[in-house]
Amino acid sequence: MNAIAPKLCTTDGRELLFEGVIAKGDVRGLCLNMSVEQHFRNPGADNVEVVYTFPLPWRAMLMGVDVVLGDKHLTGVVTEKAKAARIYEDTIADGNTAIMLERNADQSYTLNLGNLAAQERCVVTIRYAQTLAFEQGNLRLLIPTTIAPRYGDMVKDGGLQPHQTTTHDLLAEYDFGITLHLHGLLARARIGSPSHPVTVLATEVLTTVTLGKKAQLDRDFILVLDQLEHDSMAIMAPDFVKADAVAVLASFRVKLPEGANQKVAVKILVDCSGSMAGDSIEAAKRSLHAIINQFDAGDRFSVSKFGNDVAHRGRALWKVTDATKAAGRRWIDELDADMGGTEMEGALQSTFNLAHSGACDVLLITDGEISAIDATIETAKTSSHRVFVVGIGSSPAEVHLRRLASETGGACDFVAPGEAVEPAILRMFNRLRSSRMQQLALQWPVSQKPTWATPVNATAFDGDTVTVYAQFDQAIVGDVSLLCTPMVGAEPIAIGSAQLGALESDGGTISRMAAYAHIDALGRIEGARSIGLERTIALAVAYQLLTDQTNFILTLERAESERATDMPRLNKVAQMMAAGHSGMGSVESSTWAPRFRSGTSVREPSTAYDAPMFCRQDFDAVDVSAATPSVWRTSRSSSSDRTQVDKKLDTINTPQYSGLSPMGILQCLDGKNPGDWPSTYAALRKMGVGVPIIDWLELVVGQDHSETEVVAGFLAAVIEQKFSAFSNGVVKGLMTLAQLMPLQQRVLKYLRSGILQIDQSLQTEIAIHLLTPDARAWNEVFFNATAEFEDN
Amino acid sequence: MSNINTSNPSHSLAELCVLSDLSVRTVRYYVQVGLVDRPDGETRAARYSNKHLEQLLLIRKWTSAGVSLERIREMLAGGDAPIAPRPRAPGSIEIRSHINVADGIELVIEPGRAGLSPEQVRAFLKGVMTTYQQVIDSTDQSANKTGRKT
Repeated sequence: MNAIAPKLCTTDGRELLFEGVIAKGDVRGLCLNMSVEQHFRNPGADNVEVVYTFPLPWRAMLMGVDVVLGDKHLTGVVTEKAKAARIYEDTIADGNTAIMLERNADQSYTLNLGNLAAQERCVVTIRYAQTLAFEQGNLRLLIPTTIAPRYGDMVKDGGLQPHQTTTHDLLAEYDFGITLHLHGLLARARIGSPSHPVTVLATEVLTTVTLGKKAQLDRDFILVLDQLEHDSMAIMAPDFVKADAVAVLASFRVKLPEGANQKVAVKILVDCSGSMAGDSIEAAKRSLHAIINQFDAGDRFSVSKFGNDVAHRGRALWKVTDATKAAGRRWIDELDADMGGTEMEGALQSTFNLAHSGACDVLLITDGEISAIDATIETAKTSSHRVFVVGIGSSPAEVHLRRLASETGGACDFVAPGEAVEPAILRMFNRLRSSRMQQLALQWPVSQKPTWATPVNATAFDGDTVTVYAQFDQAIVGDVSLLCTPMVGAEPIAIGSAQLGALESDGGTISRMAAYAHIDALGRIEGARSIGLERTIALAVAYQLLTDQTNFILTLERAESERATDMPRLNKVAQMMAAGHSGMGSVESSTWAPRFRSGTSVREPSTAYDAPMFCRQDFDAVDVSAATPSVWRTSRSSSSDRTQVDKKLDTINTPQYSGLSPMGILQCLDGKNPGDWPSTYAALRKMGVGVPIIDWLELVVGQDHSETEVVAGFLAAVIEQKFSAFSNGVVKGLMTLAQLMPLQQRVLKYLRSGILQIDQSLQTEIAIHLLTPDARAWNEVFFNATAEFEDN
Repeated sequence: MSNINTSNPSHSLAELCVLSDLSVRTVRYYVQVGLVDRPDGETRAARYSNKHLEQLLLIRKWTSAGVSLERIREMLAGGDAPIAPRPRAPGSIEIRSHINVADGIELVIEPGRAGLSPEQVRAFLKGVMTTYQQVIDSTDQSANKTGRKT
């Protein structure tokens, strides 16, 4: 048997340097500690420089980097960014080896490994820690593995340096392995992974989770723990730098007063860009159906979609009724990822501008794959809306989306391909219906004042976690509470409280995490970037923290004979394409079914809301869409046996309305038996009546009348209207006269044959709202006024 | 850029960075990816001429205008692909073959633009279908093996 050593190759046949990742982690109490080994090998004959950009979870803090180069174990330090870059360049120029880790502007990380000699191996172990945030009895661990392609210029819009940008290789395959140990109470939780098949070995105090089959770096690893009993907790640990000082981590499980079941006003905005194709748009549609199901009477909502442009279904918010929910569902069923790019900032701004009264939120459904996230967040912050986000896909831009939600006072939840959407949507609505908490504040034990404390979130949601860090000059005892003021002028009430325990020795983890959060908070304060730059750099270096202003750097001086003599060849590690991204294959249709997946109560997309069968026989063959009605081509079953009509229908195309004019409707009805006229909203739509009019008929008029009555009343109103041929000038009037009058007379004759049952008062109401003496226009007042079914 | 005098006074990397207002890392990156010519000499002895400076200034100008590095590479190469493909005129007819490989998999070929002969299209299709069958067969086999084990 011929033994052929396996090897990894790029698309053009070059051997790959990056072999994959092995991750190991411990989840204990409030903290996740991960250790991620990245394996590199230079298979060529030249020295190379490896550049690998990778993601870490939201607010993960780098604890350290260990390197094994060949057989040498190396460690480095965190130092000021410019100094680290200088050391790195000097080392490379001298032919030695340096390893530099940078945190990028988009909070991804770039590993630079310069002068990896021919045939040399290197294992870089990145250790990071993350404070866990429980969400209504759930914990969702997310380990990102790849960065999906992002819309926009990574350098100009995303603030990356050219070498930090990501590339993608469709054929690249990197192995991924993970083992997680869950300790203490977490070991007893119900565990499942919507992203990977996992093997779970459980005892009372330790549960070990490993992958059930071989995996690759093409999707986030997600572990969901539910049925968790968690409560507020406060931990105190010695400071990493200052003797006697202590760092405090207070994690509050928020308990809001009972009865906070607010009516919601929410503007839904769905990403329909190309990257959402395939699994993502299907998950988005399932989420949207679940959202519609959550609406109750008294709620208000709007629906909009975006890609290169934004398209709003209405001009303002709809009151929730059966009709508006049906209209929303119909709109959802027609969604597709066909709107091109991801101009999120413009779409959000346009959605913020939709008319509304009172407090209003935005619910954004997206994969978040954009470069210009900073500008988008700035735009969102200046609006008065909270942005709630449902992140979709196998590798959504978690950090982007959490930042957007967090900085606008909203919240973020994620749905992986194949995962049941209902729990995430239910959590989201619990948050939306929570009372808006005002003036959150901390109350430390009496007479204890922290040296500094991180700011409290602007908002808190019932069952979610609020985490605060602080530093004190010495150990303290007592309770720490989270207070809020339910309304202006009211007394503050405690919505979370925790007792400080004894000092815990943890090797500096909590203290360093506290300093990291403190630096992050300083950076977000307006103007602090320039004023406090030296201070934040000094803090980061003292606590050995990788931030925007510091890099990790490690150097190895080689023997003279081993030094490189030329500039290393660059080998930028291409990302694996995220599974199912842009519709490239489907994760959902894979044979593996994730645990926890429950039967969805969401209705399958159907044609039930399109034309009913009897209407389709009449109007389906008419090639006149609601958006751009143009020419009536065929009518399969017209009683007049007309099979080919080349008559140009009268239409209106303005920003407010696109569809048939009253005269166009008369033209459509001409020569047809009233028994074959449209009798449903869907049939009117097929005929070419514009969306605003059908919406008004269905969602307002239709609340008190049957569909058949409304449609008959509408047609009768148009047919019996006293149009004036000269309402639009004499010349046009003369032209209209010859066409309109005989047409109206013919159709009127059919109407008076008595087949249609007309409600006279309904007909009058419709005529007053919609019609004018001009047969080629609708009543402008109808379009200019805010429609009755919308927010006012 | 062929008329640039390469015998100009040479610069060190640090000097070049000051003159071009770019970081050392970025300049080195441009050299590594082939946007800027390699210097004369290596490591610390490397020297850069005005030709390199000219290239860097052009790249800086184009990147700030939003041109991608791939496009800049083509432009610097001089004439290879700076011309955008001619837009298809309204009313022009394009015939594409839609070849069904399997349910949900379709090959779309516009022979005029692809420049493939019918024989080449056949060979291409045969290869695609064979590969598809191999992928399906191997998946079935591994599923059968798994089934036997359990």
